[in-house]
Parts: sequence; C-alpha cells; structure tokens
Amino acid sequence: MSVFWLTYSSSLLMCHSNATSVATVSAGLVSGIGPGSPTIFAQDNFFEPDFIACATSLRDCSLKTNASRPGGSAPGNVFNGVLTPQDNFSGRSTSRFGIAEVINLSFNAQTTAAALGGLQWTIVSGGGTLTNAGTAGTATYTAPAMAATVVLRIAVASGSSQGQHRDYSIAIITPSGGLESKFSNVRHKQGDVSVGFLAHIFLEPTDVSFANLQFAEGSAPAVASGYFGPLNGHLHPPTSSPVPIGSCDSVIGCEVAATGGDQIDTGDDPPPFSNGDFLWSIPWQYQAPGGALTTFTTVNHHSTAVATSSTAATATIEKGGAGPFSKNSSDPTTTY
Amino acid sequence: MKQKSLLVLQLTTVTLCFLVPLVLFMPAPQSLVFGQTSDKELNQDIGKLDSFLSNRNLDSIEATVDKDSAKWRERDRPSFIIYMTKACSLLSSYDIGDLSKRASLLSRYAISVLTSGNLPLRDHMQFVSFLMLDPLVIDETAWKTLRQQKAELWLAARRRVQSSVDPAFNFNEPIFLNVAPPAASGLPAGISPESVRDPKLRAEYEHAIAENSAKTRRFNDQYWLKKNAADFYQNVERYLVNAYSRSPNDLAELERLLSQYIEDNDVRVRILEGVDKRQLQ
Repeated sequence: MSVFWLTYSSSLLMCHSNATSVATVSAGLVSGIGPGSPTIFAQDNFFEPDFIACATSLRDCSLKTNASRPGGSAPGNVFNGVLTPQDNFSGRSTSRFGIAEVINLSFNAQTTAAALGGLQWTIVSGGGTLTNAGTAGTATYTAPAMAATVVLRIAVASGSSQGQHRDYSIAIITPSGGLESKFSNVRHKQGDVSVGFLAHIFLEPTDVSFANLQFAEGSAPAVASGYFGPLNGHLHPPTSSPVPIGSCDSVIGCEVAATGGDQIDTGDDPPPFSNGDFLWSIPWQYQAPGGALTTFTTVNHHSTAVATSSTAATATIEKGGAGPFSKNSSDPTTTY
Repeated sequence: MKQKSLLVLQLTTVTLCFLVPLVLFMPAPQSLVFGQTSDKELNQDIGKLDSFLSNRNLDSIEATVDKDSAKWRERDRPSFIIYMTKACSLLSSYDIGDLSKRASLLSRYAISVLTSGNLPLRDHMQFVSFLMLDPLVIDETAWKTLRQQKAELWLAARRRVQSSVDPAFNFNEPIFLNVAPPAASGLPAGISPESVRDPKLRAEYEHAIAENSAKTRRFNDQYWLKKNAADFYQNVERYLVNAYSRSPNDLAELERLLSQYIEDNDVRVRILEGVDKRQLQ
C-alpha cells in the first residue's frame, strides 16, 4: 500500500483533549501511489501520533500513557482516517477530488472501532453527502456538485474519548476544460469536399475523477460562409441523452464513455466547389446526479473548403484540439 | 373591393384590440402556476433544512421535517423524495445533537420513504444507504424490531439491484455523441434533423438519433450499476454483520432472512461467518 504523508499540522493531543488536527496534503510531500493502489492512507509525517484516543475510560488512558512521551499512549488507541476514492486511478491527486466524486472513508487503527467507542465520519464544512455512515468507522462520501473546500471528520462516538477527532481537508473542483483525441482513420469520399474522423472526448484537469458526472453538448448555430453558406444558422442541437464519464487517466483526463466516439464530419458535398468556412462553437456541459447541465467550456467544430477549381478542393476539419485533418477531393475514398 | 378590405381590416383590429389584452392579462394555466409556486415552496423548505447547520437542534429538525414531509408526501411524490433526500442527508452527514436520537430520526425518515411506494433504483439505493447508522442507545425490544426491518430493507434493495443488472449487456456496443445524417444529405454530423430537407432522409436520421439515445440510456443504467453494485453489496454485508453482531444474538433470524433474499450460498455463508468472527472479537 502506498502512503501519502500529510503535512504535519498539530501537536500531540492529551487524552480528553478537544483540540483539532486539520491535515492537508501538500503536493511536494506526496510520495505517490503505485498503479492500482487501492488506498490513500492519510497519516501525519511525524514520529509520534498526533492524535490519541483513550479506549474506554480515563483509567485506561492514563495506564497507557508513556511518561517519557507525554500524551502518548498504546499504539492500539491511535486512529487515522483513510480516504479511498472509488475511482482510484494511478497518479491521481489525493487532496483534490472532482465534483460529485465518491470517496470511501475508513480508518486505520490497531484496534476495532468498537474498542475505541465507535468511530463516525461527519462533514464539518463544505457540503456533499455522507451515506453508509455508521459507527464502525466507515462511510461513503459524495462530493458536492460545486467547487468547495470540504472538511471531513472522524470522531469517537461514545465512551470517555467521545468527541475526540481528526479532520481532513480536501478540495473539490469542477471540470476546467477538455479535448478531443482522434482514434480513427480520416474518412473521405473521392470527388467530394468530404472529411471526417472519430474522436474520444476527455475532461480536464487530469488529476481528479469526474466519473460520477455525465457529459453533453449544448446547442450552437452555425456561422457559415462561401461554399458552406447554405448552412449558415443551422443548429447543432443539444445532446438528447447525456453520456456518462468513463475511466480517468492522469495524463489525458476522464474519458466520455461514448463508446462509438464523437463523429466529426463534414458530410459529402459535391462540386462545383468554392472557398468556404463552417463553425459551430459548441458548449460542453457536465451534469452531476440530480443537477442541471452546466457549461464549463466551449469548443469549436470548424471546417473549411479551399477550392483550386470548381472540381478540385481541399477540405479540412478540426474540433476541440483534434486536427485540422485534410483531404483533397481527388484523394481515394477512405473509411473511419 | 377596397372598402370590403378596409372593413375586414377594421374588424380584425377591433378583435385584436379586444383579444390581446385578454390573452396578456389572462391568468396562466393553473398547473403552471402551481408548479412554479410548488418549486419555490420546495426550495424554501429545503433552505429551512440548510439553516439547521447553524442551529443544530434535533428537536427543531424533527418538528420541521415531520410537518413539511407530511405536506410534500400528500402533494407530489417527486418533491417528497427530493425533500426527504435532503432531510436524510442532513442527518446522515452532520454531527447534530445526540447520536442515538439522530440515528433514530434518520432511520425513521429513511424507512418512511422506503415503505411509501416505488422508488427509482438510484433513490432506492441511496435511502437504504441512510440506514447504516443505528442508535447506540436503544431499548432491546425496539432494537430487535428495528434491526429486522432494516435488514429486510437492505436485502430487498440488494435483490432489486441484482435483478436490474443485465449480465449479458454489451458495453462495447457503440453509442455516439453525435450521429451522422444519411450520406446522401451531404450534411455534417450532429446537425439538427430539421436541416435535412428530404423527408425520407430526415425520418431516417431521426430514427438513427432516437435509436442512439435509447442505447445511451440503457448504457447509462447498466454502466452505473457496473460501477456501483459491488460497493452496494459490500455495504449490505457490512450492515448485516454489524447489526447481527450486536446483542441480542439472533442468528436464526439472520439465517432466515438470508435464505429468503440471497440465492448465492457463498454470500450467505460469508455474512454468517462475519457475524461469528465479529462476536469473537
């Protein structure tokens, strides 16, 4: 299991102390998660535990306190929160999470939650929802549908240490952009102004998961001229059924799970040719469960025709950073 | 001829002068007004729940939720579900008041939704997930009754999830973000069907879009289950092990429920062994 060492931000707490330890992750101190690492384990980067929970009574606590290390106690009474994103892809951030992202919360201790008096996770601030939040020290956190700084708390639920806790601060972020990545051949029909390709869409930033969101394109009127002039004002309608976000990758981002991809294609347009330009500025939108569609960026679906004669032209097409890809009208027919 | 046209124009003008104000000042359709008022009222009631984050008083929350949930339950079901999701989320997520009282309230509210009629699958799973928190202090007889009721709700939801999963679903079946119109139209992929002039080609294109949408919706449902079912099953097991490890011991009841709701013998054995192991700790 790979371990993230959190910046140390509190001192030892004595038994029955109500002091708070807010642990935040500093990128410079993250030692990294190995591929497929199942767990992000938050622990203070300090020799001594910064939180001590007394087991069941003051007597237990005092008996276990080491005189040479005031406030210390038996290792069995130390607990740390463990935040494990459901989408725990290699190289992801452990302090930043996507909106609506789901994080499994648990704890690490040398004894059971019951022996500590029960452990319960709660939200201190920042929003989101906890489900499956019993007193066994586990819960499921779903981040809010908007950017936030969230503080989560794991606390002793009962007994003499009731209320003692540790806090974890995480940042929740929205998609900031996206791109298209071509995965097909460039399609063309010989004799026509005709070019197209298939691409996958990826959402950025690349260090968090947006796997609990859906993706859609909004409406956009065409701005077209010359050869494409008859299409001026023609609509790109909104996506009829938003598509889920699939797997995420720390290099390219979270992939929109349209398994067939996005078809970006001029169609097949016959001669006589002339110069022309076609543009759809398409809003890209995300949707959190139960929420409204929110536009986070706009990408251009842009194509041109450059004619050298009424029967010869070059067509180009590009969208969202993929392309431009070109085909001459005389090029042989190709498929995706 | 000219005079006749003038008369028609005058009559039209008079009619319009009479009708336009009538239309402009006519009350909006009742359902529209009700819908807008209802949405505003729901938002206000949800806002009231948010305000409890600064005044963490369980008695006030209970009084408010009892009153407002009864109103929404009677008025319309989607609003009732939205309101109760918010109420349960508040009690499940925040450290408000006495833990046992909070757990009892949360259980009562979640159970009231789960026993109120059919729920969409995702709502069903969420409300069951609110049942994880049990009161620490509770009369033994009441606990026994509550435990059995909760166990049955967890297990019924598990059975529903399992029956919703299509094991033969093909996740590689292509779905497209933008569908290309028929080649003969000469139009770019993703254009509105209204742009296709030929009625036959337009109908063909509309059919392709509708088919892609239907495939996308099926994909969405199965993909969501693929991502979430395993965790849900794990939480069902976690709840049952925690609850039946707690006094009073009633493995016979658990065994009966397991055989009623779970076909897979390995799962039943795993849960019973989990309880045994926990009781030995």
